[in-house]
Amino acid sequence: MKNLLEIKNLNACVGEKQILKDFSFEIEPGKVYAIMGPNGSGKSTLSNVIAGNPVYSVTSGKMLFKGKDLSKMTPDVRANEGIFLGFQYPIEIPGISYAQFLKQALTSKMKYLGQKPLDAVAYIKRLKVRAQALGVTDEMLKRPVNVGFSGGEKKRMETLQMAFLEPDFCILDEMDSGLDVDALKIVADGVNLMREENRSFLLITHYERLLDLIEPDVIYIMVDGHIVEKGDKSLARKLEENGYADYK
Amino acid sequence: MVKQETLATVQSLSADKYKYGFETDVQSDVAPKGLNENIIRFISNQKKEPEWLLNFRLKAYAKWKTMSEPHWAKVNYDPIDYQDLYYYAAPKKQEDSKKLEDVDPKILETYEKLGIPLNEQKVLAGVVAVDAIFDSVSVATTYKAKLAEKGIIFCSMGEAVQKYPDLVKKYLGTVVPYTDNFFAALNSAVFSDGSFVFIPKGVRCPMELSSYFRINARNAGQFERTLIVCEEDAYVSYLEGCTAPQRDENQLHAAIVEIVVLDRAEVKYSTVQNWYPGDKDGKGGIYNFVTKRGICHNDAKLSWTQVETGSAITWKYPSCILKGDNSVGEFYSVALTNNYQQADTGTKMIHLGKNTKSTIVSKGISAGFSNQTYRGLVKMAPNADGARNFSKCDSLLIGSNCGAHTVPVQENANRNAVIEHEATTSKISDEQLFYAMQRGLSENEAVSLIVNGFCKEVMQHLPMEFAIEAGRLIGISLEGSVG
Amino acid sequence: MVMQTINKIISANEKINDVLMNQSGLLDVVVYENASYDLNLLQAGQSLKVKVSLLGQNACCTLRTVYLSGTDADNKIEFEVIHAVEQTNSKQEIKGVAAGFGKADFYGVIRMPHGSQKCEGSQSHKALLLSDNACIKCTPELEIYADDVKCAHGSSIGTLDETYLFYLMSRGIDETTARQMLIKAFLLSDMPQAFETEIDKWMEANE
Repeated sequence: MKNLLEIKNLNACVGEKQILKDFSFEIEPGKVYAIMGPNGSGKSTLSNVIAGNPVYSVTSGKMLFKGKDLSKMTPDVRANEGIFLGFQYPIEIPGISYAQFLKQALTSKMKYLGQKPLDAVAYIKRLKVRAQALGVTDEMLKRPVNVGFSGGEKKRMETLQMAFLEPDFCILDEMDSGLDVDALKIVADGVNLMREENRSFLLITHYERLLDLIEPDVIYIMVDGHIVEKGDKSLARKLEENGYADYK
Repeated sequence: MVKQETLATVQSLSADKYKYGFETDVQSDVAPKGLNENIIRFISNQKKEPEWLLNFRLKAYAKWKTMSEPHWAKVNYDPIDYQDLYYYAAPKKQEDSKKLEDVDPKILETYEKLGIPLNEQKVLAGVVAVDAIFDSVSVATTYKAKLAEKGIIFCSMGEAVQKYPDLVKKYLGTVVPYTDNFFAALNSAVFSDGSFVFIPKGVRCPMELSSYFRINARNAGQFERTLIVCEEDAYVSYLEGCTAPQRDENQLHAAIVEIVVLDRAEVKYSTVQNWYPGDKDGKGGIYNFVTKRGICHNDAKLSWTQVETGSAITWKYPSCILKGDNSVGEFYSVALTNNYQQADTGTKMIHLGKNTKSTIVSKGISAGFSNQTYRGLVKMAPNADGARNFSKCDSLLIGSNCGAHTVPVQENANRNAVIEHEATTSKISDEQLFYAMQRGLSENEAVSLIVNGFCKEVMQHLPMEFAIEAGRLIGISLEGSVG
Repeated sequence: MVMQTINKIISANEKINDVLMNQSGLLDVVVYENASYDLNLLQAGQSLKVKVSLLGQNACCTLRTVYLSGTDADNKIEFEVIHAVEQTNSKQEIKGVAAGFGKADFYGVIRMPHGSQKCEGSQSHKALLLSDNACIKCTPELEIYADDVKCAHGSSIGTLDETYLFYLMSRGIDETTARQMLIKAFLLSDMPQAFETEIDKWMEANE
């Protein structure tokens, strides 16, 4: 199996509006990818479609993850197969604490993989180690999911969820939006720590500054629902200077 | 911080300043007092009505006799003696002619005072067709020719019964059946006149249709009946405005407005109601018991906008039956009560079709010794998949002797439908007042500014020329405290 | 269950916190100055009226309620809060669900008569329909005769938000578990944890 994820001629829409138009790309294991593109080019739609958000409907095309057809999988199955989406705007869920939420998520994944669920001690240990690395306090873990968190804290908690669940493919949707330099550094360090041979990342971003902190192997440029160019890090610099005018 | 100045001015309001309180001396054709089958036959005969309509009236009358006046609304008034009222009054016609020049000049003068642009030039300037109603019979209708070119019918109900009996028969009573409620039954039995509007398939009515109502003859119960039919893909904006002269006896008004909105059609119905509210001691004023309802077929839209500043008692719930899939209902309302006025008003949104949407925005301002209730019903039927409602009701109290009440009933029987409601009750805050006064506004100006801001969300839904009149009315109604 | 009336008098300066489950009949409470009454109520198929009269300055009450309606377990709940004197506060928080053929009818009125200046009253009703045959009716009423007061109510009747469901599922949690977590979270937030076991039992039987 060469590619971790392969998308071919994918068309997807929201309501009546078509957003992804014959979209194709590949994700190889162990690499970091960045997708850049102007507002409305369909970057967030792409991440939601991969994760299986029912708001978006796929009209045609193929998505293979580890060689399996994604289209028939519900969002939880996709997650347990190893897909993680770090949301641009994580929602607030009053009444469910982070600790409870993460425990349930991990239990579900173990069950899916046919493994024995972690006991309470092992679970807390696993959570604490990762929380500490990201500067997440016990108090934050007791609070309901994302309720009352600042923008920066929410993104840090998304990173914690990712570190905790150890997915194979991490999509980070505008991880940098609304973050100041220090908060961005914490999140970027968390991501860099997770870089591994078999784990791939897809960073969705507008700005080059994130790519200075998390060095991508490949950059895709997305305009009007599909990829218009593929290149290395130098592409980002070019964009910063010229914008997307060349692609329109 | 709302000090004596404001309270005093608010209390001394519109009372003796009712600007439209005058009476025109015109001879009336009046049926004797009281209500019985003979009176109904008299009315029907006067209007040269076909047999089926007389039967409709008689059936309604029979039903009415078995019903009793509803008392669930939060309003108090002395019992109405229905046998002590006149049920028919028509201004004497000089000839059988319908030309403007032939209209009694006194009537025209009255309209002049009311600022209604009835004569040709004014109508031209206003680009508004006026189906003017004086007491119970339509006096003059302008612009009919221009509308006729497009196949639009805009005439008095009496004329429609003569000229388009099939259309009237097809739709009359289909939205508000005569069995609906006590006042609807009464109206169905004795309705005098009103407007009839018919917009044929695919036609967009090129102008706002406007009807001015006016109650004139002493003790003449006013029973308007309006029927609007908007065929597939058609559009119309209808304006209803009313002023009435001042008098001491309470006057009963029980109107019906029925609107049929067929597939993909849209109707906007705007009302500015400033009938005589009674004096500062609560003497006199109009009793306004109205049944207004529209039915929306697939993809149709009905929007009610109302500004209510008049009447001693208001009992009124313009409603939408969202029968067709994807149909839309809207209700935007400003109600202002002062002195001893009582208003119990709101809306009903009945969601029957799938993906139906409704929006309710109600702003109530209570001052003096008045009482006001928002009463609403939002109902999601078991088949209303994907239906949504959002309601917002805000009440503002000025002074400590008034009342503001909210009774929004919500009933949801579909798990895929969502009802959301918010309501607040507040006074004009000292901070707001201070802020405005610090910038140099007098207390009255500040109150005016704040009340206007409070209503803005609704006023912006009125057609431009109406919005100006409505703004002026709120000014008159809160005169003294509002600049 | 026999229809009964429970009378409670909360004397001046007293603070009472009640946790009650499955009551029916009438609960009539009067609260005197500087006293407070907190009611935490869980109803799963009864008919109950709660009437609270705030009779002394600085009296306050908080009515927190969870109702669970299921087939043959309809709820009828009526709250009446009367701000009889000035400077009294009341708060109502109602959360409910209806499953199966369950029905719920909630009526809540806040009365502020003449002279009840500087009072604050609020009511929040949130409910979820969990089945095609369930039905919820809500009538929040405000009756206000004083201008220097703050009064608000909000109500929503809908279903579980799909975006929440997606968020949980995107973390690997299956739909049934995710739904149950969300329903429980909805019902329990700002409510006493004492209700948890009852809610768990109810969900096992109804969801």
